[in-house]
Amino acid sequence: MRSSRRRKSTTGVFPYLLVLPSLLFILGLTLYPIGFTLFLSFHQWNGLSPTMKFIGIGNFGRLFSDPVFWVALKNNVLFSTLVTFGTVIIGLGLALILDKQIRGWRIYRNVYYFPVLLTNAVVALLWTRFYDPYIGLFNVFLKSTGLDQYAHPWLGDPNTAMLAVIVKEVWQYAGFPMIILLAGLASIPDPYLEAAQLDGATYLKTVRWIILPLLKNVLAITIALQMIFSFKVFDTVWAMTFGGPGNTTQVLATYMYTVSFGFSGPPMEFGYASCIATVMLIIIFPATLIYLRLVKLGEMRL
Amino acid sequence: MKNVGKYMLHAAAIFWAFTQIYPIFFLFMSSLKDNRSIIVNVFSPPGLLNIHPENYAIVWSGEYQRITVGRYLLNSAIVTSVSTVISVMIAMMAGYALARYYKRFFSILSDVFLALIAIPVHAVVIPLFFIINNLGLLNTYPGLILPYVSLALPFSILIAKAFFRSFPKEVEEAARIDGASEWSLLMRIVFPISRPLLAVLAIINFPFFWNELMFSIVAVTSNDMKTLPVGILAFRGRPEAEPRWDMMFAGMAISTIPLIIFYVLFQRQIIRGISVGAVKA
Repeated sequence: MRSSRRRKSTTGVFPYLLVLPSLLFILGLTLYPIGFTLFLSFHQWNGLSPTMKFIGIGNFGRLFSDPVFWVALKNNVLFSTLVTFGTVIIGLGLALILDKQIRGWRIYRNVYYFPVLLTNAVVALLWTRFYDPYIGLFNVFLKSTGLDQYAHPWLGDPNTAMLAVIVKEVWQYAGFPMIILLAGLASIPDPYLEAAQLDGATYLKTVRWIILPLLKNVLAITIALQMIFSFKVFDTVWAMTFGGPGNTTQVLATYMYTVSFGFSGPPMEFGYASCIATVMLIIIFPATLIYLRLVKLGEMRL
Repeated sequence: MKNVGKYMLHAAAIFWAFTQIYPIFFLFMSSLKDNRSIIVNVFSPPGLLNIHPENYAIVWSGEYQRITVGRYLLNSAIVTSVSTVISVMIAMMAGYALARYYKRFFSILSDVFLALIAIPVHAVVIPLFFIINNLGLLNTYPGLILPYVSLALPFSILIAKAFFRSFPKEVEEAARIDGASEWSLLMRIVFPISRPLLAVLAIINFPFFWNELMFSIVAVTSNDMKTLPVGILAFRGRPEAEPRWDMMFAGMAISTIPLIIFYVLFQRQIIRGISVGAVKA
């Protein structure tokens, strides 16, 4: 502190110059766009016309009576709940196994994490082929084992499409909670586990009564992170189904794109799309802020 | 009894490893088959005399449906590397200032950056499209790089700030006494010994830029400027008589190879960086 006070008088504009580039980026390409999105959500605009028509809360009124919006919101909740549940359960199981340091556990860990790094759009396209009714892995496998009656156009059937998309996401991202939980497990002091062992507790009992309670905080952080992350889903759904068939796999992000940018043909409604973006902001922003409070980013150590 | 449990753990570990590896193996296996054997013998590897590496050459150069994966790869490499360099550089500068100079303005700025981490891309993507359009930057590299840098900045800056907070000041003090200017101090002493920070920032940002789809899909429409995620989606659902699976698999294989190389080279740093990356939602 002492030295910093001394420096204050000698540094002048230098520190301001250091933050200037970042500040310009943030002002022009983040803060201004956020304001513009909020502004647009109260207007009607096709993206081409020079004038935007102010319609008050008209977009919001329309949105809340739009059945597709409710389907999309329901799918977002379903998607993020099931993806979080699936990835955290599998990730926890894998972390518990690897924490026993079975032979080759580092190799397993690295293998499990790799899909997380892969391009979402490419993995989605690959899984679209796995789900193909004719040459997809699942159906070919079912047919070759005599289970023909279960063969199915997984992505084409409104009843299974959303679930099929979720399975792909769980497959790709289970490695992520695994890494965080593995670090959490490593920080549990050995004496706790040894004491439980001396008392004759079985492994499952140790997990239930010793490990899980001690892992509570890390688990909460992992769940929160996965919920927020998967609520933002766009790539997977866009690449696999475009939100179809018949809007049954629509999520907020894909619906926002469907009503704007002309992907579904005119009219392009940027006001209405911004209104959807605003709703997403209202959901995600506070959730993430609370999460950041939880993990105390400011006190993070490298 | 104890052994049974151990075998079960191994079995579970192997099972999940299989489910993770097989799809990637399947992708590469299929990319070397001809279209007919992909359809007829879904599971079998290509016969020894029936391997088709030319699939790669065809999708690379645009002989099929004008899909030029080689070009997409180049675009992705340029956009990703330039975005990474710029974002890391200016995030380090800002992070250093926020960590070292105790002024009210900087503590407010820190809070602003923290809050901005919580902003989803969805909330800025429509205006970003129009800003880039008004600047005449649609279908250009800067048109992708500028928004990417701004999206990566808040998180990168706060990581850099945390790094410099825990960074000993003695070196700087000594250099200052020797009469070094603030700028040369930063460029010649502080940044060169900040390699660990550089690595973490690059490793977190690189995959994000490489895989980004939501903005690039609207900011890039010309075939010559497509990045891999955008370009690869061109293989999807072509309304033609016979879908060319061989082409699609080869295209996906090409776009996956750089990530495999990246992972093999940096897996230790990547795994370690995740505990940091975990903060990013």
